[in-house]
Amino acid sequence: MTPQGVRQQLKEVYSRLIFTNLSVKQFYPKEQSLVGGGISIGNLPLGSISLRDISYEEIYTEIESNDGYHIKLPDGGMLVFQYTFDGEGILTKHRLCYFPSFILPTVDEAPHLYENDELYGDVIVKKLVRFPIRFDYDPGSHIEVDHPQSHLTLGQYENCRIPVDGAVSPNAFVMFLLRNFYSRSYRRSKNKLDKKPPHIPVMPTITQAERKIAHFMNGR
Amino acid sequence: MINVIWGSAREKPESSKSLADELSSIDDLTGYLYIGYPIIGSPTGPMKFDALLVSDKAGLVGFDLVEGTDLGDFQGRQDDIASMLDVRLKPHAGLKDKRDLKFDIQVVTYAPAKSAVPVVEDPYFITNRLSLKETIGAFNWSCDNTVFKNLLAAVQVVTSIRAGKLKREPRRADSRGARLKRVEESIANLDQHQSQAVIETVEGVQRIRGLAGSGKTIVLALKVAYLHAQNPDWHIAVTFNTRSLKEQFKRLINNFTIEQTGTEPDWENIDILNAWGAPGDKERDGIYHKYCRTQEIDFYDFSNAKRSFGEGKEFAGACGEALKAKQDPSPIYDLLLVDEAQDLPAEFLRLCFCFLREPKRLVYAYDELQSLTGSSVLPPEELFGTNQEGNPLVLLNTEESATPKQDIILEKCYRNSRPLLATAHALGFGIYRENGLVQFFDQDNLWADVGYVVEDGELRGGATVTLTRTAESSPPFLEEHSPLDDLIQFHRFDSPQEQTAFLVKAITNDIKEEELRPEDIVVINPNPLTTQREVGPARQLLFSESQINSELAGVSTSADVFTKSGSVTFTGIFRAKGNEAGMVYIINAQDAFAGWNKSATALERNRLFTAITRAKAWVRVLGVGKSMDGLIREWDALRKSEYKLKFRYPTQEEKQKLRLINKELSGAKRGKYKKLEMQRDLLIQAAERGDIDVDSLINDLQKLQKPRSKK
Repeated sequence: MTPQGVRQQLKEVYSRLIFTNLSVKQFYPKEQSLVGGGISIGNLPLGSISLRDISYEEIYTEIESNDGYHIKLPDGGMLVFQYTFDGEGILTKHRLCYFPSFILPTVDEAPHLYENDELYGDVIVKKLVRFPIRFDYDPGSHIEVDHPQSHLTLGQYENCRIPVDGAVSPNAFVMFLLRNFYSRSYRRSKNKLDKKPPHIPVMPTITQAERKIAHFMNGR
Repeated sequence: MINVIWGSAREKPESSKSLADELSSIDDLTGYLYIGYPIIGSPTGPMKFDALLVSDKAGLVGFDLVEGTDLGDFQGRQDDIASMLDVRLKPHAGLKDKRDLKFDIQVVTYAPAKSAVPVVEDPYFITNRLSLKETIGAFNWSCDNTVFKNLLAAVQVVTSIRAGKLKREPRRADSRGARLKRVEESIANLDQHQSQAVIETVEGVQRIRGLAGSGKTIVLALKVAYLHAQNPDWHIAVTFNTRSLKEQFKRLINNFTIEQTGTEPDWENIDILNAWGAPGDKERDGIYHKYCRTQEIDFYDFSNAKRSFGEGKEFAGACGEALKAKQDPSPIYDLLLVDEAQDLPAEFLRLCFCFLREPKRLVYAYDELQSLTGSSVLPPEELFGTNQEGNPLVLLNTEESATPKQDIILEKCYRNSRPLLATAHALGFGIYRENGLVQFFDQDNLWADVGYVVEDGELRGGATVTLTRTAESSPPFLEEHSPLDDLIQFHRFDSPQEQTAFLVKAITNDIKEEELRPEDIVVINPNPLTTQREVGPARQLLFSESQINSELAGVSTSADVFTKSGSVTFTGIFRAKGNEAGMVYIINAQDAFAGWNKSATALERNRLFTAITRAKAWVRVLGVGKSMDGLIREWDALRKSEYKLKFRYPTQEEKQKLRLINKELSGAKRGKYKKLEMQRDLLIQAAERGDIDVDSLINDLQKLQKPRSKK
């Protein structure tokens, strides 16, 4: 994974999500040069608020009102893309987050609200339990099995680190979310979304021991 | 005769009424008497004035009203009144001579219940009913008329808070950005009518009507702040349709209350709620939901209501059920204000009525022509229904008299220039439509109410009439910033792709050359069903080719006017409401030219009307194909008559027909209706062919008619 590769793919992902109106509001990830020649893509004003010990409602509201996200989906779900590379152009970290809205129904729950702009469509009683999703890549903190280099965290559980076989590209992250949690929208725009994005090769970082427990495989 | 503006006088009703009566009976006294106004924040808390007389005969007189016979420390109170007025007025221009006010402030203690009052010395005055006239008669206004006008303006300024200023630093003096800045600066504070609308407090139902951009929302917010300051113990609620209004109301009420009283509002007693609402936290609550909860009756959510009452009738059905479910509801509010009532069903307003304690203080504001769902608001007699004796529960007193005004019209439009409004009205009604009008005002006087005057002809069925807007109802500064041909333009394209290319190019030019900020631009697609599909390509092109960010207004993005996001807003018609922008692009306007029937056309044209009236400065109406040519022809006719509405005024009969058109159902019923229409055609054809016996058919139909005529 290279800065150039991430850049290209992000651009394509943005373009697709805007075209299909899956992104209702967006900020393009900013690039910043780091000491020692590295580069960070997607730095946000609210660094690590999502980790602090506060309620999810507060986290969401804080991020939302401070524009601390990169893409907002029609139901208020927010995406964050952060990648850091060192001077050699080697990926040293990434953080890919999804913060669902705790107020609005999902597109699948209330499609008319989003597709027909129905004014009262959000007035629904039954609601699914929603949870944030995060893909982290951090080889510097690797502890065999306990802290895989690339891992998935569901619902802010402190010790939830499901091993992932390697770093996750922007497109793989977005498609994972759309297929599973926005399936109606995904199916409506399948043609556009299924097109091959600029290629980013997957570098396996998962260890033998980690392969022995339940883990995620990146798509090829 | 003086003009009495009735604010909240709950604490001193008798003496207020007596004062108004006595002063009104003085023939040669002119000017304004404010009851229960102003409220001025002081270090010791808000100071409420009992009454204030601003007269070009008697000058400025503050009143200290005594309801009973105990005068108390009237001197201390008079001193407070005089000094607070001094503080309030001094900052205003044109009232000072060096450090002092150019005129005296008189203060009078008025105790109508006292038969005799003690003699006091200057500058203190005490009067009862008998001596009031004499005391007032001894005062005079010592300055000229200009100073008086300045004084009146200063008193009438309910607020000096200006709408949130946006940073704008144009480099070219003639760029659109620079021109928009000048327009925004010219939109001054509230005018006199708006201020009066804020203060006039009715112990009952009050109706406020006005065009889009006439300041209804601000008037309602100020009313909340004013009445909350006057009656902190009242339980007040404001409700509306559009989610984005919530933040706006919150901010306005907060700012106004702080300005008037020096303290923050007590949010325990003020609810800012959506009309519907759902269970969950306070943020999601709504009037209907709260009603169901407090009355312990069944709550319908959207999908439930849709199943039970049908599409397009969800909310009306849900509210209707709630009303039926409890005969004797327990009210919890002292004051309820409803904004955007044109988009809310009558059942909802009735529910609000039931939710109020006596004397049922309900204020509802609406725009006659902004109704997007095709149903306008009924007159109050019908709206609120009747009591057991068959008498209407609510009758508005529309006469000018010494009571608070129940029916207020805000006729001045501060948002749209004259050519824009004339275009919106001409197309909305179909004034120049080849096949005739599609909708019309029921009452002839509404034309005057929305700011038109008859220039030629008369408002009589069959007569030709020419209606035009005046400088009074459409301030000239709104149109003088740009050439007429630049204010509003129509563009026709052969294909949607062409339309998108034009749109992207124009927006890019607005931002890169004309110094507009992205948030000054709104793109509206009038058809709510196609917005998602239609705006994607343009948004993507703007992003990838022009590096211009955009957002799609929806449930998850706030459509607040004070947005600072740095992006162009794309929106469907519902989310566009309550929003405004300097430059408005309307895409796919061709649909408005002709719907599948007159009723649908009327609906489409309402949407076009709403879209056009979002613009503070410029409108570009874009559309594709032949229908767009038709729409442009209509606009050309209007342009040739210099933005005057010249047409044959419809007769009562024709108006009746138009009304029926608008009562016809839209939405889901449309399919059913169309099917029935087809079946009817088949039946008639069959009858023509002789397949069906016509006489027996007529017989059958007559049988159906009977029970109805008995009713």
